[in-house]
Amino acid sequence: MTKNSDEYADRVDQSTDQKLAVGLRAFRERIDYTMAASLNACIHCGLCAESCHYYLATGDPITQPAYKVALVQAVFKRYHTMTGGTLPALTGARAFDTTLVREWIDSLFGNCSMCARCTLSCTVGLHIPRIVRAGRSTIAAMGLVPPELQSTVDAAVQTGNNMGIPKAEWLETVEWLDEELRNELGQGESYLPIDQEQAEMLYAVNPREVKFFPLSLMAAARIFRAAGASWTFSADYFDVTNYGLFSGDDVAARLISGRLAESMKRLKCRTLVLGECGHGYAANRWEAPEWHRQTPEFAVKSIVELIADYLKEGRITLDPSKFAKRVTLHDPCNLVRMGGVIEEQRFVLRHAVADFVEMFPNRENNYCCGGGGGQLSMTRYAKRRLAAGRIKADQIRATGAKVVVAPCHNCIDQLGELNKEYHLGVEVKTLAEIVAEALVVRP
Amino acid sequence: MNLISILKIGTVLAALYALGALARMLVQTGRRGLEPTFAVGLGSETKGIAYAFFKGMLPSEKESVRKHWPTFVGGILYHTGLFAAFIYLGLQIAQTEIWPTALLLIQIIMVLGFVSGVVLLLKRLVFRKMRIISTMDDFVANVLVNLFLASAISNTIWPTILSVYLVVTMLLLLYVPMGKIRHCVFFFCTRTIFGRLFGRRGVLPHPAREKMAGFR
Repeated sequence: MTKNSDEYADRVDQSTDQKLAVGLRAFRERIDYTMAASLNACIHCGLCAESCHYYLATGDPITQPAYKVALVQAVFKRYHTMTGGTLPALTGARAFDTTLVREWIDSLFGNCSMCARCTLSCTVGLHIPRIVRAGRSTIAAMGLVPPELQSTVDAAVQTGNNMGIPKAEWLETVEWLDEELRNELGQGESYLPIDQEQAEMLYAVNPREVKFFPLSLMAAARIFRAAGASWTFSADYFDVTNYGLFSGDDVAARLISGRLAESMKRLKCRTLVLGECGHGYAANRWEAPEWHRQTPEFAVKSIVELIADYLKEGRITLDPSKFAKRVTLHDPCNLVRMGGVIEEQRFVLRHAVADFVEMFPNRENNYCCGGGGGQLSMTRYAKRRLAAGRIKADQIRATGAKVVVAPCHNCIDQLGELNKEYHLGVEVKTLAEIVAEALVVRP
Repeated sequence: MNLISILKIGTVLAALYALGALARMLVQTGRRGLEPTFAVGLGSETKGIAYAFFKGMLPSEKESVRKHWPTFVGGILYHTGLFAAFIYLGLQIAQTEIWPTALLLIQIIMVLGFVSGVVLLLKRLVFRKMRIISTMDDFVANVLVNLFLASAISNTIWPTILSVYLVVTMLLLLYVPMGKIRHCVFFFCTRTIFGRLFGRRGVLPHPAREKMAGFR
């Protein structure tokens, strides 16, 4: 245990009655129709267990989704049902105390990537990630989110992006990449425009691209140039991610997503294009309008959908013979199962590579890679994350593919680690990187 | 008024209590407010809800059903037996004569339901995976339903035990709102929520595939 994690454990153990009351209040605020119906409907049938990569990888019954639901249900029953309040032993109702808080943290943060695969398997159709997030929100209100995840949220709130990249560094990176592209492809208009008012699209990216994967930014720029797109980056807010979704902190989540809306307004763009980031898509496309209680005045699209549109409209042409290696596709949970972007990436890959094979199961039934739900940032649970990722590693190995495409940077990081851990011997790429390689550049 | 008449009235009152309590719970749940939906949808909520209640429950669509088909079949038989026992109860209270063939069918369905209930109870007792997610309510609810089925089956053979059948029924009905059996109404809420969520997001029933047909 590190000093920080000891301090964190102490903080959890020393939760005062006042703090527990704050948590209970926050929990009560989460109990809307969906939550109340769900927590009244779970019949503990256990059929969800084998849908969860944590359970499949470990066989430990405390990792099954029903157990996580039961932990939250215990508090719901104790404080929000008559039987649970009067006969707790009958219903499994439990008081919200320090012991339970510890169990919630370990289970809801440490054993769940909020991938929603269990929801598809659930007999009664419970929205289990929502139940898990309600638990996480309660913990967030108590200020007890695992510190590594909290620091990611804090960095985004304080600096405008989750890696705390200063504006000067962001602008320098864009300038450098622009210069590289100009040297390679010729001078003329900027390849990576920044703060261009009235551009059709504002492109938001994962800060990891800026810091570690600049090639994926260049790939997107090449595609936009080939399609003759009108687009821009924002000098202020470029971060597509939103870890408030995972920490359960709605205030932070609203603030972070609101910044992209601010940039859209300032630059008078019409479409917010989200880089390859699964949870960034779910957060900005589906959750942000609910957090803000407002339908956005602009369209929100994933770059995956956009590339498919370009291909369909003939704005870009791809040569699949440029990419002969066998390629498989990982479906990021928040983009596919929770996002609805399912066929676009397949359509693109069929045009971009010569040998594309599906994993099984795929699409909305895909297995989570293990990197979602903020797991990558919560290093204290890294061993569990890698163990749970074995299911995805087995899927990849079974395809015989040499390249795994993942339209999500969190997934890419996790798949990269799984590649080393399970000796898969594959390359992991974004969709834009594959497309940029297959692009037929018109004279 | 004889004992049977009193028990019949008691059973009807217990049923009214159960229905009233469930209705109250539904109203209370409804008052908590439906989730707003400001995001522009990709697919159809209506199609999603239809999927959730029909195709989405089938083994072809649902992995958990494919992996646990004995439990799936057992669950269907258990619930069908329960419905049959309630139909039989209604006919007994109304003192309606049942055709021998219909009675035989009801008996078979109830026996299958009872056997399934016992197997599901054993499954919950035997497997650690099940025990760890079970509360006393899970066992009480199962035992009460099994007793209800057993007494219904017995009553078809020995009509003189109608009083026992009615007492067990009352106990079951009084328990319905207290524990997990309340899923009999909340099931419809959660499946609707499921259908709305995945329908709206264009995930199910696979509208994305239809949408992308033009790309193929």
